[in-house]
Amino acid sequence: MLELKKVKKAYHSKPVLQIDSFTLEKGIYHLIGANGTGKTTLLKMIAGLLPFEGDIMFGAISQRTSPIHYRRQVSWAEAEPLYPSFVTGRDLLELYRHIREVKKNEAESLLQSFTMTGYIDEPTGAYSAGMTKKLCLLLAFTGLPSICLLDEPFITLDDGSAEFISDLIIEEHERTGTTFIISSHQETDLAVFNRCEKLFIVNQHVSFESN
Amino acid sequence: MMFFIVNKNDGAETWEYHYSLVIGTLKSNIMLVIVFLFWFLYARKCYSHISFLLNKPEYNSLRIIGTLPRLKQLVLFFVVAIWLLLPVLLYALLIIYIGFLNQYYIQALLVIVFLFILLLGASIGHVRVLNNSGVKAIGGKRFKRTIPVSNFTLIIIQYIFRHHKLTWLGINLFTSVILYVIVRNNTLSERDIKTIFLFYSFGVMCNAILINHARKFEDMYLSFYRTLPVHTAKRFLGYVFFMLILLIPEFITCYILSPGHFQFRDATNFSLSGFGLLLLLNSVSFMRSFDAKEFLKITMVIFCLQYIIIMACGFVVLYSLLLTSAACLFWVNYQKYEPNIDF
Repeated sequence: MLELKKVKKAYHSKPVLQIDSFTLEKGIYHLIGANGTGKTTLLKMIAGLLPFEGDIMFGAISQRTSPIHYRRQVSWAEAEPLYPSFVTGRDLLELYRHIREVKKNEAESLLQSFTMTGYIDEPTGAYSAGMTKKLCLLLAFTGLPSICLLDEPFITLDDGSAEFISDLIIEEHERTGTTFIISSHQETDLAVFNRCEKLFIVNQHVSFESN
Repeated sequence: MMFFIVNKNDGAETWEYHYSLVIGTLKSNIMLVIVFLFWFLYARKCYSHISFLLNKPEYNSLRIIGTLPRLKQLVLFFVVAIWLLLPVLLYALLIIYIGFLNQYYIQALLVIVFLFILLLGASIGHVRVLNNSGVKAIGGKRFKRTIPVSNFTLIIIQYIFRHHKLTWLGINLFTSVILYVIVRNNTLSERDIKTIFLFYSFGVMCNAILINHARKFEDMYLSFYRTLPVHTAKRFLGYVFFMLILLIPEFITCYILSPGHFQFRDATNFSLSGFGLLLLLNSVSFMRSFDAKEFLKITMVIFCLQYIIIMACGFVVLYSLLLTSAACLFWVNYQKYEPNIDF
């Protein structure tokens, strides 16, 4: 269960988010909001990437008091990922694998399912936008913890890859109970959007709409 | 350095001082070659910077210049190169004037030709970069990898040695040579050691440029690392290793000089204080996202504080303070640091 308590976030004294109390049970959620309403900010805060007032907890684990344990529960894929051009996809996969303590064969199997074996050993500077996006999603799924935050996961992906990610989200949720929060402007006919419950950000607050 | 020496030196007036420097440069072929080498390095640095900017998405609008005739593009970039090399060109005017005045015609002509080649070379290179998206600075095979880097600290180190190796080399050459020459040629008292330390720490402090570059690089390309379950102490140790790598030449110089010219204790004091200074600057960079100017100001304040502490309390207090405050600042600020504000 994800819990936000008295969460406030401002940029240059301008409030962006003010959430007194909000709780999310396990599920797949589609985060919806107009440009600049703070969708990415919210996801980054939950991911532990941005500082904020208040606290975010997963289960009984607080991001503020147990940052390491909290981060073990959360994975994150950003909308427009950037990686150092000289680093290969394999380097980054190894980095994640060591930190998240994932077995080599598990990572290899995930790599194969993402059909990235052909270019994983190439430097990321040689990747297209779609390939970089797939790498970012692969890393988020490596050692998949209890909650996975995906910011615009389908942009720049080809149709086949988008369908694969959509199916993988559903499969992983059913298999392991992982909670997914997906921020996306486009509600396409991908299967995952039929399974999502909707979260809205309006006037700096998050509201929930069940299917 | 010549450009900034504008005061009286050793009793000589400014003009006399520069006059003798220029005559010395024109008389000695080796000196002239060294000056040319530094000019080349500076021009290369400027060239790489402009090429880097031209390849950044936010400067894509500049590609409209590519629709102009090639000659016009060349002239535009020639003007850019003149502005960037202005400090060199102004001093070169003085060299040429004194050269002709003292009948060093060949040397003066060489200066003109060399600078013209630098300006033209940079302009041709920039026209090439502008018209070929993805072309990097000369020698900048950015995508080519050398060693596997599946470690956060090694990625940052590799970035510095790929993109800022000349800056690193220049800073370390300056610091190490200054230290070596002064210590080697003087019998040192306790008071002298403190004065030499100021020169040395000024050189070490220049590494703030690299720390600032590393922070920007990390914010842009490695922000994902903040979301991973890595203990703050382990993250701190990563930066400790990074600072040790940056200071390897200084450490070697300190210990080469001891015990013959420098006491072992002094070498340790210099090494620990330099290391503490860099570690503190790195921790300060996590207080908030500083731009280069702000960071430079903070660096200068720390340099002044360091001067007071070294004169009043000595080395042990200085490096203990530097190391402790670096660890505390990092511990307090790392989780609160906000890399960027996009939302």
